[in-house]
Amino acid sequence: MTLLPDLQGWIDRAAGRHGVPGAAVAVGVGDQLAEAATGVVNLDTGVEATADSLFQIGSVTKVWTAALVMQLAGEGLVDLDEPVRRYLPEFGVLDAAASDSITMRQLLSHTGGFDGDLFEDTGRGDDAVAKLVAFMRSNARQVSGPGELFSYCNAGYCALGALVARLRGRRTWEVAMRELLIEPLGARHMALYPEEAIMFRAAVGHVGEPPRVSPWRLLPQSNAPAGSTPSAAPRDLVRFGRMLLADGVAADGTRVVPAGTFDEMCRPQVALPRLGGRYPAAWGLGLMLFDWDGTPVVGHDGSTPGQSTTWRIVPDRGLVLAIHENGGHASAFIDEVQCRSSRPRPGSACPHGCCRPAPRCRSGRRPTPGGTPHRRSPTR
Amino acid sequence: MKADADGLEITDIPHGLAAEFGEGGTTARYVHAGDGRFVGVKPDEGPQPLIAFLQDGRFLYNMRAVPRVTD
Repeated sequence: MTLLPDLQGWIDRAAGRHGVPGAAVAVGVGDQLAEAATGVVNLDTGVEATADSLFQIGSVTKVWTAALVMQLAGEGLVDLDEPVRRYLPEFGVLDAAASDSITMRQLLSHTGGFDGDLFEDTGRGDDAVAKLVAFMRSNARQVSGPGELFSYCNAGYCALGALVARLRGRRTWEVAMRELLIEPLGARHMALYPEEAIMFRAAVGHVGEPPRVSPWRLLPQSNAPAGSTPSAAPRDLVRFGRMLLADGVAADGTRVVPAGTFDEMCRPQVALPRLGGRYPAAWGLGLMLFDWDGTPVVGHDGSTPGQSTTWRIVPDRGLVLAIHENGGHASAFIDEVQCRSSRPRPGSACPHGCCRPAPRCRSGRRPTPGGTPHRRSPTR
Repeated sequence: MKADADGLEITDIPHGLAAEFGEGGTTARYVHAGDGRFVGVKPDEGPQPLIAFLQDGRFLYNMRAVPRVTD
């Protein structure tokens, strides 16, 4: 039986309803793969989106950076509970004691306790991430003690990227990504730099209503390990998810991450306030952990200016889902496609709460204007 | 932050780089959504934001833990 035979029709209609210029979707269940694309990658050029078009994946990148760290841990090269400084002496934040004690596990689970929205543009070059790490020492302000609270932290992932490059003896995080994950995985539609992306049908973001091409092309290279620059076709995000589901082995039999890595990444590190079904209930090592009516689901979201990506794995069903879009009402589009493509059976209830009514305030009024409270992408 | 019977009015106060670059604070209204949650009245870039509070209200939680500076 063909997987999701109506996928093309769904995303065509959903994109039209939600004003999305272009989108590409891939859904893998077991060995089957369904792909579809709709609209254009760029409203200015009118180039059509295809299933192998590249979209910026934003913070989904963090799971790849986490996988690089897990490779190091699996090989015994790092202990996640040791201070980051043991391996990257130049790591630091404004608080001296926190600088000495923050661990890799805390950075992976966003519990380092410092404000990590440091999008300083340190320019292009092999030292872009290293310069951001230096910037952190005089700008990363502590909001809680290390390990006390979850607070989404981009800069922590930049430090992890620098650490990976250092311990692997690679010139940059990008080289480590390419040699240790992308190539062993067999991902052919993935780019880490704009000059790589232009070799593909690459999407640009759109902002505003009606959507227009975003004036911001890319976020700084300094934040690449947190997701500012990478782009991928949805099938390669499905490929990555399948490798994790296969206990670290790629489709061609190549071991990419050590056995047991995915289980370890899925282990809850910190419980989160229950905001709603589309928000994660906990965080693992690089992974958002969701509870869809009792079914464990993991993944990550990502956004860059005018582009959004949602990536989910439903381990019990062997399902991996990647949705990219480049403007319009992103959350509404992604919710609709995610809902339809991840239902256990056609016609069954929405498994993750996006179709349920908005919560009411105590006076009984729904918040206005209408609509449901959506996940807010944590990328930025 | 100001509270009334129906909800909250919360003003973000920029600090650090955002303040240096002259970003002003923004005020948004939230209403009770049950289970200690509040939902934004106005959508924020499409979605209506949901928030909660941590550590006896010392922090606003919106995926980040944002320190509260006033009652």
